[in-house]
Amino acid sequence: MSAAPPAQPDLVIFHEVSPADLRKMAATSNDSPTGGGARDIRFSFKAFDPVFTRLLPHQRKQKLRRKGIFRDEPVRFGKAQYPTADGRDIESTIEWYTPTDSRPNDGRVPRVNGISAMPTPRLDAGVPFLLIIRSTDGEITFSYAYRDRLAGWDSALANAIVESLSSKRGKALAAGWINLQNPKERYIHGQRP
Amino acid sequence: MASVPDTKTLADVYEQLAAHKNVLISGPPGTGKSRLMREIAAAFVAPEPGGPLLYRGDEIAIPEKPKTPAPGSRLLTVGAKTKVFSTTFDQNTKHSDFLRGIVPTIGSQMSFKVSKGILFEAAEFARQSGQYSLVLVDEINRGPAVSIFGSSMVALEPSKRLNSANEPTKESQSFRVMNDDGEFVDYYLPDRLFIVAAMNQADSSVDAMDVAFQRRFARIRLDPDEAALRGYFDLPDGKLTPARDAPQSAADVYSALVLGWRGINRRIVRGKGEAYQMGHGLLMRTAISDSLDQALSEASDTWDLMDAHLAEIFYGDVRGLGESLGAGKKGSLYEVKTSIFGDQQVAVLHLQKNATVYGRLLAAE
Repeated sequence: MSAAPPAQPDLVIFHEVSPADLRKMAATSNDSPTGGGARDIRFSFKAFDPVFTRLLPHQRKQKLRRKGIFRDEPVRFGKAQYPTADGRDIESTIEWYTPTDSRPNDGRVPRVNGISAMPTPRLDAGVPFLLIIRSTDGEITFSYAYRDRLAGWDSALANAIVESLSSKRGKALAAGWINLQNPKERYIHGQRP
Repeated sequence: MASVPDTKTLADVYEQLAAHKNVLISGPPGTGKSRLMREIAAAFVAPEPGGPLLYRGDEIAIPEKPKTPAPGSRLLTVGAKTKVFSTTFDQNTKHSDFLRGIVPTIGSQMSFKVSKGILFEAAEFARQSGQYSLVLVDEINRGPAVSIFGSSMVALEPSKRLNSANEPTKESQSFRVMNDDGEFVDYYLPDRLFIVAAMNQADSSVDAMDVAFQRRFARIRLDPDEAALRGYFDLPDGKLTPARDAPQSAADVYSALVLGWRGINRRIVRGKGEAYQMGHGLLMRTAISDSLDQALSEASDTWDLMDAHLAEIFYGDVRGLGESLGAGKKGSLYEVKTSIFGDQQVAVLHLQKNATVYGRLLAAE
């Protein structure tokens, strides 16, 4: 029997999961059982590009259509793990794309239905928040926190999630990030810095 | 090493491990030794570093930091790697199973190798920087413990170990073990190796453990715990007063169980000694129910277990068995009678006709 010490989280990006996001995760977006339509989770590019650049360690160039032409665009990426019930790790790549022409303000985590290391949220515990968590050892993993079940979570993270809900503007989804090694370093979408 | 006062808390075990590195838990069967061993293993985790922690895959992946660290963390440094090695001794356990020795190799003719026993593996693990081993030995007195530990016995004491940098000190005591080539070399036990052993002194099928061996272990004794039993059955503190003639409720039955168990244990201590008592765990197998019928049924099963325990410890001693059940005392349902069998006087235990389990429990009070 071996007891490995738990990891120390530093960067945590949180994002409210909308019903549309749930369909994307299940590959049934666009209300089509075949899963047509975008399967991306979108963030404000301006606000979140700096934190995704910190969180994802690698970058490559990829031909993507931008401003009407295919050109080399930077794609950040990294490996994410999630433990299965029998103790093995599922590993997947998580990527961060620059905005498309049709949504020039949004960066994207693409093809979320294909990230096998990203579990799907429960549906019986209030609004879910996808957490993309990096630990100080560089590992990335996913989790969900739920609006109605924040008791027991690290208070700096729980407070940031609660504040993100009250800072929502219009139809925007609540989102933000926090550095748990220095909780004063955080961003809550909709709040003035 | 001095014995410690009777106590059973996990924190106490770790306090003794911090001071003595080796702990021997003893107590009658059913007093929670195995459970305590499991708790000791689970608590052998390194202290958590400052700040929040990530438990990948948990429902609450980044919990609010616990206020109370695991008891085992006091032995260990932040980020330490820990490993628990568990074994149970029996009559066939040998020195080569525990430390090193020559054993046959399976699948080849007349070929041998040098074994790596659990204590040796644990010592090797703990000799690595930042690594700690905990060896759990259950039923230590069911095997020839002195022979199994062999000459490592002299190196068990904390002062005889290597220092924390794995270097011998003036007091370090080596002993001889085989290396992988079968040559004898000097070997020391490391500082970061901890041993917890458990034994039931009432076991009769065991070798004696000598005083020199036992003094190298701090002692923790577990005793039958009536408070734990009352908590389990949800019975009040103070005097228990079940209905005398027939039970009126499930609580009456559970009260009778506790009273009968306590009375029998009291007489066992007088006749056989504390080590032969029935632990509270024996009664905690009873399923709790509000139904009187269900409680009586469970009590009957529990009585059978108590009866079997008494038959074992008083095997061939009818008078002792009768005494433990309260035979001859006022209101007892038992009586030891003498009869002639094969021209010899023999003692026979008689139970009053139509005696119920409930009546027997109360009569044994």
